[in-house]
Amino acid sequence: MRPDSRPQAGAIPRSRLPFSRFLNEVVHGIGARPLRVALTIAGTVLGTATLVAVLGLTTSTQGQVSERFSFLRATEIELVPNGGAFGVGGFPPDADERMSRLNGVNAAGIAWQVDAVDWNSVSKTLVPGQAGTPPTGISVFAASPGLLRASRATFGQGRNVDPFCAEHRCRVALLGSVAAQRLGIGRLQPGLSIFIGGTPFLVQGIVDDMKRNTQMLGGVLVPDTTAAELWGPPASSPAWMTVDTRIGAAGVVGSQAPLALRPDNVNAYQVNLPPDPRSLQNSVGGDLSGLFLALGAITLVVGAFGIANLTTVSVMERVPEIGLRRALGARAIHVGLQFVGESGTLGLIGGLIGTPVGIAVVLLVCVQREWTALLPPALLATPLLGLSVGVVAGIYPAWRAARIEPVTALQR
Amino acid sequence: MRGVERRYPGPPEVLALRDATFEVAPGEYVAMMGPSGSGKSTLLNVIGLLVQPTGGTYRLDGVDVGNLSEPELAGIRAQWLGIVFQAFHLLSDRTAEANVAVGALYGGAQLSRAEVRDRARAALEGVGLAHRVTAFPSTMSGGERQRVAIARALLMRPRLLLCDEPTGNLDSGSAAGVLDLFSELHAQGQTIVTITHSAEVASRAGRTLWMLDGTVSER
Repeated sequence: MRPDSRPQAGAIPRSRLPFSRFLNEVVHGIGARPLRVALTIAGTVLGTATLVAVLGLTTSTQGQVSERFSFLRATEIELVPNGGAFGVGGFPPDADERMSRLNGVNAAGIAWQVDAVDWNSVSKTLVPGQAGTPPTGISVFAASPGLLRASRATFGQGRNVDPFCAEHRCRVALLGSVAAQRLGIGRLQPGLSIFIGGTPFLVQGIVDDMKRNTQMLGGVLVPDTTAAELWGPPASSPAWMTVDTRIGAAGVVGSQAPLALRPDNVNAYQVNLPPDPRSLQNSVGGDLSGLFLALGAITLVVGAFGIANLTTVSVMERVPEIGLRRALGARAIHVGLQFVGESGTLGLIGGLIGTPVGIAVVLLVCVQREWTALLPPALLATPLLGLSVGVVAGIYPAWRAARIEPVTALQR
Repeated sequence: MRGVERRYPGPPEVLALRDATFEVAPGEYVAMMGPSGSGKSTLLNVIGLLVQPTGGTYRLDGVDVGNLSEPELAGIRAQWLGIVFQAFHLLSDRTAEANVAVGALYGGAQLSRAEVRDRARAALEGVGLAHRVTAFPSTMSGGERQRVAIARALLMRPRLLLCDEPTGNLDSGSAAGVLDLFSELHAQGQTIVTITHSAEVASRAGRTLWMLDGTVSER
C-alpha cells in the first residue's frame, strides 16, 4: 500500500461471473444434495403433471366431440309426427314440396316401413319359395321421391322414381344394393320385375349407396303413394321425414319445419336436431377441467413453497460459503443469482419430469378409452412454467442471501 | 492507510478502529499483533475490502478505495487480494483442484477453463500438494487444507496476500510448514500481511505492527 502513488485510472478490475461458470456453480450447488433435491421437486413434478394431464385430456375429449360431430350430422333433421292420424302417416300429401320451399333445405322426403307385407314375400318370381329363389327376408319401405335425395342416394343403375309414377301410383320399385344382391339381380334389364306379396313391380333402379337411412339398402323401396294405396297408411312403425339442409341451417330449418308442414298444429312433430358443436365443447371444457386445473395450480404453488423452503435452508447452511464467495470477489448479486439459479433449476427439473408424466397419463387414458390423444403444442412450454415457479420461489431466500454481510458470514 | 476509523453503530457504539495510520510497501511481509478486541479483525476486514471504513483514507496500490463502486470493490477482491482464513473455508464437495479453481470464479473471466485448471495445478504444486490434486477436503489434514486455501488465494497472483490467523487451527508441525511456505513466497516477492496472536508467526515476518484499542503502532 503506497498512499502517495498515482491513481491508475481505468485499470481497476471489475467482478464478473461468466454464464457458463454460473451454470457450473448452480449444478454443483444442486448436485451436492441429491436426496433432498429429489424430495423437493416432487411437488413441482406433481403440479406440472396435473396441469399437463388436465390440458391434454380436455383437448382430447374435445377432439372426440368434433370427431363425432360430422358434416352429415350437422346438415340433417329428422321429424317424427306425434300422431299418425293426419294425412299419410301424419304428413300432408305435399310434404316434400312444402319443405323444399323453406330457405336452407336441399331436399326432404318421408318414409316408413311397410309391415303389412310378409318379410319373405319379396321375390323374383311369382311363386315364393320356388327353386333358385330362397326366402329373402327383404323389407319393404315406402319412400317419397325427395327422401332419396335427402338421403344422398347414389344410383348404380337406373334412376329415381319419376314424379309421374309417384303421382299416379305406378307399380314401380327401387332396389337397395344389398337387396339386389340377395335377389340375385346383378344387372338391371329393361322390363325387369319383382313381386311383392304377389303384386308385380317394375324395377326402375338399383340404389348403390345412401348416406342416411342406410337400413333401406337392404330393402325394396316403393313410392309412398303406391304403398299407401296398396297397403294403407303406416301402422305399427311410424313414418318419419328426413331433411337435408345446407350447412349451418339446421337450427333455423328445424324451428320452421313444423310450421310449414302443419300451420294448424305447431306441436304435431318432434324435431331431432344435430347437436350444436359449440354447446358440446363448452360443456366438456367447462366444469371438471376447471376444477382440475385449479388443483394443478395449487399443487404447483405447494411445490413452489417446497423449493422456497429448501432454498432458505440451503442459504442458512451455506453462510460460510457465501462469505467465502464474497471474499473471493463475488458481488452481492452474484450470490443472489447463485440461489435463484439453483431454485430455478429445481423447478425446471420438476417441469421436465412432470411434463412427460402428464403426457403419459393422457396417453394411458386415451388408449383405454380408444380416443385419439390430442396434445396442444403449448404443453411443450410447461418445463418453462416449472422454471419460472422455481425462480419466483427462490427470489426471497436469494435476496436474503445477497444481503448477508461477508464479515458476519465468515465468522461462522 | 491514513487516519482510518471504523465505527459500529450502537447501542453501544463501538469505535473498532481509530486513526489507524500505517504503510506497507510492495514485497513486505508484515505481521499484525495485538490482544483480543484490539481491532485486528476489523483492520483485516477493512484491508480485505469486506468492510468499508467510516473515516480516513485507504489507498491500495495508489487507488483510493473509498471512491469505488461495489463491482469495482468486488473486482479488486477477486484480482488484487488473496485472503487466507483461520477456518480454511474449503467447499467440501469439490476436489483440491476444484477448490483452488474457485479462486478464479469471479475475477478470472479472461482465463479459459484449461488455463484455470493449469494454474490451479501449478498453484497446488507451489504449495507442495501436487500429489493431492484429486483429494477431497474431508481426506486431508489441517495443514494440507490450509495449503489448498493458500493455493486458492494465490491463483489470481494477487498484489497482497492477507492472512487471518493462518496457523490458528493447526498443530505446531503443520504450522511450521505453512510458515515456511509464507517465507518462501515472501522470498519470491509476494506482499504478505498476516494477523496473528502468535509470537512465532510474528517472528517470521520482516516487520511487526502492534494494535491496541483500535490504534496501530510500530514497536
